[in-house]
Amino acid sequence: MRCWIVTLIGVACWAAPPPKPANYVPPHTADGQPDIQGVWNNATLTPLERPAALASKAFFTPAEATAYEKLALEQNNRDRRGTDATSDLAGAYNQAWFDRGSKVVPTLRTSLIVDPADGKIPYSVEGEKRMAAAADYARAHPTDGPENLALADRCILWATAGPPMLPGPYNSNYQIFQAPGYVAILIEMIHDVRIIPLDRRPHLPGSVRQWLGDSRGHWEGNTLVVETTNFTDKSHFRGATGNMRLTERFTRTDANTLTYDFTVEDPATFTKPWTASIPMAKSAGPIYEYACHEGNYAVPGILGGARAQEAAAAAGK
Amino acid sequence: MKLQCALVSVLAASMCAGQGLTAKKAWTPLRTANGQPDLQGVWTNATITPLERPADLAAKPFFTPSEAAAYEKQVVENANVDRRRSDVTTDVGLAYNEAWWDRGTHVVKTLRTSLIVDPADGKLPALTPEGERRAAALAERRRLHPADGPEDRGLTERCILWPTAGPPMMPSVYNNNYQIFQGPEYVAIMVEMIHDVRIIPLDTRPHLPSGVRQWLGDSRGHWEGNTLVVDTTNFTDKTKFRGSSENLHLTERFTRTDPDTILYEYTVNDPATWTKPWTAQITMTKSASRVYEYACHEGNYGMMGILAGARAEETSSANAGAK
Amino acid sequence: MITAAAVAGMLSLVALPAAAQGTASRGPRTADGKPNLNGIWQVLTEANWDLQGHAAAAGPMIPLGAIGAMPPGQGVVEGEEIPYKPEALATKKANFADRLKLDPEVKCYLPGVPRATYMPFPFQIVQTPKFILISYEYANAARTIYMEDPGPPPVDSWMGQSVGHWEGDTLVVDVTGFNDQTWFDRAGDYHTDALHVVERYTLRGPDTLMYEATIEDKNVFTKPWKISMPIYRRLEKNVQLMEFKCVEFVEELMYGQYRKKTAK
Repeated sequence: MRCWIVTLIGVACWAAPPPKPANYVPPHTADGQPDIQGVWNNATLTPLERPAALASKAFFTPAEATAYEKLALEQNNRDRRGTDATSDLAGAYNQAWFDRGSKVVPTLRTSLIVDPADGKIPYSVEGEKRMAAAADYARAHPTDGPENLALADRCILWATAGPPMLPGPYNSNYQIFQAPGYVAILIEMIHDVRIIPLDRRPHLPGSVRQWLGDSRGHWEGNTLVVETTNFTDKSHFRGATGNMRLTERFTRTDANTLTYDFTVEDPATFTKPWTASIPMAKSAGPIYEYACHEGNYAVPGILGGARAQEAAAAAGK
Repeated sequence: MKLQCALVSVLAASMCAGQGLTAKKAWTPLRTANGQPDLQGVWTNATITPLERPADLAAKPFFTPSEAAAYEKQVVENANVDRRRSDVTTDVGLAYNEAWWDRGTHVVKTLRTSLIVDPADGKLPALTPEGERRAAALAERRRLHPADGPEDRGLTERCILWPTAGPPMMPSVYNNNYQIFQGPEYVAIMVEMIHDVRIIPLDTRPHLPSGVRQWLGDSRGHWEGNTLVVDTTNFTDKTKFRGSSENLHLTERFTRTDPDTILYEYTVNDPATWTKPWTAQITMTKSASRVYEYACHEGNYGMMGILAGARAEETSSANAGAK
Repeated sequence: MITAAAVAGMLSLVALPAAAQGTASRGPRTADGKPNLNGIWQVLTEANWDLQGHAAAAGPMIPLGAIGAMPPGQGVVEGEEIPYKPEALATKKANFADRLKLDPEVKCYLPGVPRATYMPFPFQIVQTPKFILISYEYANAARTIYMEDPGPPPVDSWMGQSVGHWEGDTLVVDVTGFNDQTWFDRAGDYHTDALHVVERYTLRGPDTLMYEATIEDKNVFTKPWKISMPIYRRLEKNVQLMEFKCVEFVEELMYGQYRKKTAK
């Protein structure tokens, strides 16, 4: 509510750029919510943080954007032969398996982060120390057991689920359902469903922690505002602790676009809150079942391979 | 209840006097709020009358009152475990002092010299060949494996099932207490040993599927006049009432014959075990007491002691043999 | 700066009906006139242990004691017995004998249909005219019921493809496109990829759903058979699904043999 009052005296109060000029009025569901239902995809070539090479360039020109897209697609193309068989194999999958998108964001910003202005995550000293320690530990214990592997490899949590919901290497698909009092987001990876109540109920008790946290939503005009707390200390979104607070904003800015903004707060990790914006595009769907864990040959392969390497090294071969 | 009394009192006012009537007159029981004959309250079935007629009473199906009193005195005196026996080993073998026992002090109110009423000789009918074979095999197994593991011990020592629960509900060494509750479609019998509750539906639903077996079987009840008739099937093959098989079909009848007495009668039908059905009766007496919690398993030091003792004996005899 | 957006936003905030601000409709009908199945539901049967009637029994893990023991159940199968072909019944019995290794639930795998319905966890129905989403707390399993036929399933899956329509006040859901990986319960009842399930959900009063599922699989059963049970609304204040992300809980079981042994 503060935001509205401040607006009357002429001060913009939100860090993210406001949604596109409201010539577009979304349809409404039967119970009066702005309708954001359907299948959406948020794949994009724009990185979360601004690349070092583009440090001075907040926005592409259209021509630069096209060039960047072309370059990115070429460089990412896994079907390109590497220098030798080993580097070929390390590419893992052929290009057909990936779906990172083919375009930068329509705003042409060179990062998804819109605040801070430099497009970089504002780590605090403590946050950087913690990340460095975690990286050291991971280097020292890359494959001791399953808990040392990435959450995606363990089939526990994918970046596309988060929250916040970031695009991944493939299947960056979502289906949104709305019923009286709820918005539900079915996330293809890994069949997570975020069911967001729109009433005023309190969050779960502070002692209850969840991978996807605990979300509460409400409508501000045509924007769904979702506040999420109660993260575990294993969720580690970009190094954040379990006390991270996330605010997401969903606004349907035209028939085929759902603008998704999120703001991350975690004083133990970041010097200030930071915000990113990703457009989600209407997609034909359908959402497929991603039975990740049921087909997880990767974990036994990675761990078994590490054990085999150790055994070979111990045998002095 | 009051209305019925009012009608009956036109014919026989004495019937509605309520208190203190004996079993001899035809007595009309009070009714519960939903119209069932009232069996509710706390009851005990402790009695010194044995199931089978003792050999020296073979010719005497019933005591006279004075004979009953004399029998009671003699039985109670002989059973008193506070009397010193001939040697220490025998004393210790009796385990508990008299205060712990409650086998009853009276014969059944009918003064019959056995609980069994049919066959007329007060003895169990003959076993079938299979029944005999099963009993012999069980006795042999117990002789050879008295304490290999908990499943070799009796159901009471394992705190699984007590004879007072059955069914049929037979008096035992102490705590022969029951509390009966009646609701619109159910009669529930809370059995003190071992806090078993028999919930008996009075509607016409079928028994559980025959593939489902239960320690206390599966009971269905209905009223015939003032008698609650309970039909029980679906026993397990481990329940073994007096050697019965899992196909035991039990019929129980509860009739309140006066304010202080329920006549409890049961018929055992198990053609795999006995050559014919047999029937017993016990008079249950109103109790002024309450039903206590019997947390048997929670305090079961007996089982640990018996098994550990058996293992210790084996070890010491093995060591002795090795010397 | 007062933008057109801000003004329009303020006006639409004022105009927003109360329903959109979060009073969940508990009325018997949705806005499009259908029975309202929205909400959080859970069964009370022991069907997940064994669809057929069964007495209580010790569990397969001695250290769990009574916690791992099987509770008794009167059974949810109409006609009491599942009509197995003789050779398939042998497979079921072999499944049961080796259930700790073979039951997909042990490994936190997706439960399939209808097992997802009677897992001992709640699920939430989010009902829209074109899709009905069912989100299961167990392993965050989920399925989308298409209320407009999407055509044949493009690929086999654990949860199958669900296509729904209304017959009067009953939601009828036709599920095909199963793989052969799930079980119906912990007793080894199983199917092949020929499985076809038809579910019926009918409200019986505001807080009870009557549920039926007809199951057929010509490779396993001599004829179709049916299960039925009530499903109860979870009525606690502020009730919500929580996470049961069990993959983490089975990693030691599934991958412990690959764990690096610490020196000493």
